[in-house]
Amino acid sequence: MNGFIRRILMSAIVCCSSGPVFGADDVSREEIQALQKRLTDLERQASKAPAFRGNELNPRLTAFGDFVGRIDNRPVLNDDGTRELSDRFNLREVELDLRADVDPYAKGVFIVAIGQEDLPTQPTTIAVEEGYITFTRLPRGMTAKAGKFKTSFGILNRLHLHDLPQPTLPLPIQQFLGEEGMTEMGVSFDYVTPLGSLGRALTLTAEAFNGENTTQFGGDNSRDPAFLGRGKYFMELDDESFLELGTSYMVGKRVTNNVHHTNEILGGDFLYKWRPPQPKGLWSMVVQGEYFYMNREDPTAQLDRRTAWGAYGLAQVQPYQRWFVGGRYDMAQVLDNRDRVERKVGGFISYYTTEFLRLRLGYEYQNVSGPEIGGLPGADLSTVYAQITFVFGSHPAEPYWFSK
Amino acid sequence: MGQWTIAALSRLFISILTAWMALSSPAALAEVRVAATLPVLGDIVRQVGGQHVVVQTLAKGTEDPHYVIPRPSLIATVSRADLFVEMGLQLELWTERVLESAGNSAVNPGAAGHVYASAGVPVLEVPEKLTRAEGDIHPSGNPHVWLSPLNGPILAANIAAGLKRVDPERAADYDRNLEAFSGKVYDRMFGKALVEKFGGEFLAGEVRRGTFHSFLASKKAGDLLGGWMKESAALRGLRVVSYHKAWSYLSQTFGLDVRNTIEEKPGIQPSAAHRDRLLAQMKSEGVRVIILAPFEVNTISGRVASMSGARTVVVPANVNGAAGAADFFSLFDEILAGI
Ligand SMILES: [Zn+2]
Repeated sequence: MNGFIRRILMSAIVCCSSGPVFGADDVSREEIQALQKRLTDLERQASKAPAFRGNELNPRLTAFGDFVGRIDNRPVLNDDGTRELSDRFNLREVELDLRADVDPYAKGVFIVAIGQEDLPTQPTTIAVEEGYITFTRLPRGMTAKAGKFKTSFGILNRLHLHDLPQPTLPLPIQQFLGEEGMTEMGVSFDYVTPLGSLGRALTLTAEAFNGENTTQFGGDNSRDPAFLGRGKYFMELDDESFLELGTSYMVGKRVTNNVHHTNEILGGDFLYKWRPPQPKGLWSMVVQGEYFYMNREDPTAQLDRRTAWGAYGLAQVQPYQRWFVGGRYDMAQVLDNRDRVERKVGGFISYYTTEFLRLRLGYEYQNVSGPEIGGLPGADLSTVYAQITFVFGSHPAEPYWFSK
Repeated sequence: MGQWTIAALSRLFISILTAWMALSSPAALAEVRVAATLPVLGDIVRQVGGQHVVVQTLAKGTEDPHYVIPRPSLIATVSRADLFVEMGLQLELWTERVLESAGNSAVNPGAAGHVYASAGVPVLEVPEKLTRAEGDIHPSGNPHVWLSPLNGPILAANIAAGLKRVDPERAADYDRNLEAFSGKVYDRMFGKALVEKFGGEFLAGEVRRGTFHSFLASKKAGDLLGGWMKESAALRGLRVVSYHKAWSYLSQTFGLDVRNTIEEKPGIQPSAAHRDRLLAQMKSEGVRVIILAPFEVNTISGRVASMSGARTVVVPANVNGAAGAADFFSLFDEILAGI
């Protein structure tokens, strides 16, 4: 249809312009310009057409796959000792991410993990990793979500396994927030504001949730809500680098013999990133660390700690556009054994074919339960990881946040 | 004293209130705060908005516009903006994260304060079939539309429309500035004399249809030609290789012949096989020039340059991408002079 109209207009212009027209001629300049304008408008309309592809009302669906093979120097069992983790391939994570506008006021997000909890013979499980609604019509700078989400304590707890810069979560996060980090049900508010000159910003977060985390709070039957506050200060250091400083605080209750005891966790974190617009020897560099400190009013068992701390440090460089190399050191006091401390040191090398496919090799050495000071070291664990992470679906080519 | 004092106080209170309301009312000559993704868009906003706007640009001119880190500083800037201007066509993949975290519903896509500057540009290289196997970053067609001066008036028209939506009281100013900007683009493009005779938009259409030079010949108007179109005569048919498929609109306009790219597909790094094919092609077709944006100067392009013996030309791909490229017009002065 457009093509037809355009052809008619074209031929009108062609026959007008084929004679000695533009001057004091039979067709006035105004008429020709009017035709030109219509032609341009039609061309613009024609170019808009391919923008509509249908299915707009379906949620955007993205699938993530995280496949890991590992080799260990000794047998490793999962948490409850029902399954051997060592020396095998494991499709660690299959995750479906669905998101869409709910209405003009809100967006919905569901992140569903499909997995086989224990043995391959057991039925497949489907778990809601995160599921929340975000409200979009709040005062400027404010966002709010309600549902199930990864709590905003520190930096890496918010990330899903496949987004991590290394194959595993740092030990202090596993020790202080839970084996797979901390996910809770509740509400979360974020507020971002520029600070003075361009290049500085403050982000404030407040959260209230059930306190179902068994590592720090009451577990499934918790009737005591937990609360979290986080502040993050961001500053551009120059045209090539920035620094983020964050602090988090979380408080909830644990129940011992029907007495509700206060449990507090305090955290500090920093992230330094350097990425020049044009590579200078390296393409980019990241240095990052998080610190955790716990204070318990009353330990559950005699062996448990009243206070404990842990930290990790991470450095990563990008020698070529698609290559990332880095290392991490973890240290965490074991919460339920006051004589034990865990340490881990590891390195990794990642190669991205595109933003959608990453191949990674990692090595980690863990001193699983060495004594804190002196004494004999505990059993060592050495693990080599080979990891393939891939994304497909309607997810835009959004770079993995860490690496780009 | 009671009655009298209360009356006086309430009168004072009301006058203070009215004065405060007059001062804080948004209609009272407040500047429009604009966040623009790219420096080239920021510059056009400045030219169309004049003294009515305060512009903050998110990406740097020397930065690859596909891969900007959605930093909190950008998010904070967008959270306070009245108008958000992005190119669209999935060029700035990072804006989704920025907009989501900024919590500013006035500038979300679909709201009055959001502008896709590329809307209405005749898009090149729209894929017939959408698959990631064809590379990962141009799924909506080639988004590097600002690299032809001819698209400047379209970008400016979309920006002007956005400014008028959020600041209707000064619509006349924006219209006037838009007209001045578009007129200047066409004058710089074709020379004043030619534009006066045939009209800028019409000439732009001839260029897009690839009939400009035959039209000029048929009208025997060649000696009226001026501007970039005249200065760039040497570029017509010049065979070059670029790093990324970024120069399609420039070559459509000026007749530059981009034979191939160092990237295998948009966003996909070259395999050894692709590099060998490229080197063979450059040799057989006599390609002597490689065009790079500042952020594309790296070991990969360096190796192709040294292995092919071709001359490397680094030109700005955005406003502020080089010292001389301070605005939309000097950007093309720099690009054309560079090549
Ligand atoms: Zn591109």
